[in-house]
Amino acid sequence: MTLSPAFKMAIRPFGDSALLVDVDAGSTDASSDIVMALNAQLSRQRARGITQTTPSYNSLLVCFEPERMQRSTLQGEIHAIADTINVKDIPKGNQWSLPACFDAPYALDRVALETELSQDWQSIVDCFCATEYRVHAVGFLPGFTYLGNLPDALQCDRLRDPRATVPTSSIAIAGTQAGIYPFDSPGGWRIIGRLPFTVFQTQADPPALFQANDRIRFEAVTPKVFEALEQRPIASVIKQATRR
Amino acid sequence: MKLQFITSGLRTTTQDLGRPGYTHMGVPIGGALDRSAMRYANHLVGNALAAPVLEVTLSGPHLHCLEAGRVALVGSGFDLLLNGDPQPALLPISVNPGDELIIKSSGNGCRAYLSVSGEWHAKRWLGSASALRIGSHELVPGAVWTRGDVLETQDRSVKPWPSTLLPPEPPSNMIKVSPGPEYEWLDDHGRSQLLSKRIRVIDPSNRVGLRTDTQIQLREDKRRIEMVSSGVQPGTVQLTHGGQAIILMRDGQTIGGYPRVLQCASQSLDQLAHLKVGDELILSLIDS
Repeated sequence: MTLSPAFKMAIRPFGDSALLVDVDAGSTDASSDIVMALNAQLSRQRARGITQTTPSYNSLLVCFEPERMQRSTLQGEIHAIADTINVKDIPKGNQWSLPACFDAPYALDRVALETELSQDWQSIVDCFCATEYRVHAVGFLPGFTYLGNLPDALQCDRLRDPRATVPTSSIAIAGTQAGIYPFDSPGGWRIIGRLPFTVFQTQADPPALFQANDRIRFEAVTPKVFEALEQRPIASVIKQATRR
Repeated sequence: MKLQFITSGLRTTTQDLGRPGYTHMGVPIGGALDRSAMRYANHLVGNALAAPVLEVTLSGPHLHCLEAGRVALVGSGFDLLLNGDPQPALLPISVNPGDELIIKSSGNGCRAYLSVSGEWHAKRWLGSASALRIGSHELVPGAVWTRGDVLETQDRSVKPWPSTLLPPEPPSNMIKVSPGPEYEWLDDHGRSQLLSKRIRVIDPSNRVGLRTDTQIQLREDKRRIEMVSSGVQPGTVQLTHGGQAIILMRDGQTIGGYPRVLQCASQSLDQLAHLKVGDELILSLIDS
């Protein structure tokens, strides 16, 4: 089955050694499907001269070596792939169910969010955990995981003054997005909980646990369980399953 | 060859051509900020052009030679002293056990590359020996050199091939740029503030990005737009909400949510390596 013929695609030069492909298929999820399918096909063809691709939401950055490939040739190849793109080209990704703790001392923004969202903490956590999230992109930092879409009831502004340090493995929300911090780093998103393991490990293969198009659900655990899980190897804490 | 670090300098790291192909998990390409200097330094000592080198930043290390070999320093703002004597630039220098090498800042530069003859035993991560620091984390700890460390290479006694490789061009503060994806978000006034005029590098600036002292407003109808995060690359010029232009460097983020108003030409990326806080640069638009 060919994907929605209705999607619009624009390919623009982005400097002398990259093309930016923007896709509009009506919704973020539909555009993201096309981007992921394009990316998968482009990677599969291993076109000579492509050095790397960066998918993110509704765009795909394609970097190439101008010495080995002409921009117009690459542009033609991307158009050719887009013309025949198929539902089965969308990578399936993995399905994850992740234990997470949404209590003190991990829920750094609890008090402010209860006021701002006019809800008690339990309903905020229940609402967050009732949703399945899609990984829209992995990037910014190595392993930073962008999740969407956050339920309307949880949408909030970023902090006016970003924190100097957000702890590793924090789960954060801002706007329509949720995210997971792979390292402690400065950050302006609101921190609602934490995972008992790290999502980016240099020695793991691949180093980033999640990839674009994965689906993630969170399961609230008590601080006591969280502390126990922190001591266990990651493979015994979470299971991945290929999506059907 | 074997060299021991008596002092390490401000930040001396192993760098090569980086790790292309992992931006989809947020890992930047990284590698030597000035690739032509890196290649030329390797060429001078007869190494493969893509071999790892030491990247020296602002202040250089003091090295003690334990085993003989050749070194070469290429870059700007540093002199190579052998037992206290300044060495000629852009030539391989033979070093013997007991010799002292000092890479001394001459005050006006930022980065230089020291090649060390022979095959390196550098640990690689995702195919590259390059150091990568994310916040306070060293992702490749062995690639950051500290006092007492010993750098050892296996000599292969290869004489440099005759080559037409030219020395890198001297550093310039004229940075060639082409319009970025959101260039249209700047009006004529914004463009005139950003292009063809001197802008200053301010703190903090590092291998992740160069911040500048600009205060540039987007076109009125674009000021309140929250962009959907999209791919960026080394040399992308982003404009923050506060109007500050940030030039992303090779260890920079892989996707971003600020308007990408310009993109530096590949050939200008090497020049950016030599700009430090307080230096001025000029972004100059070329036909793409």
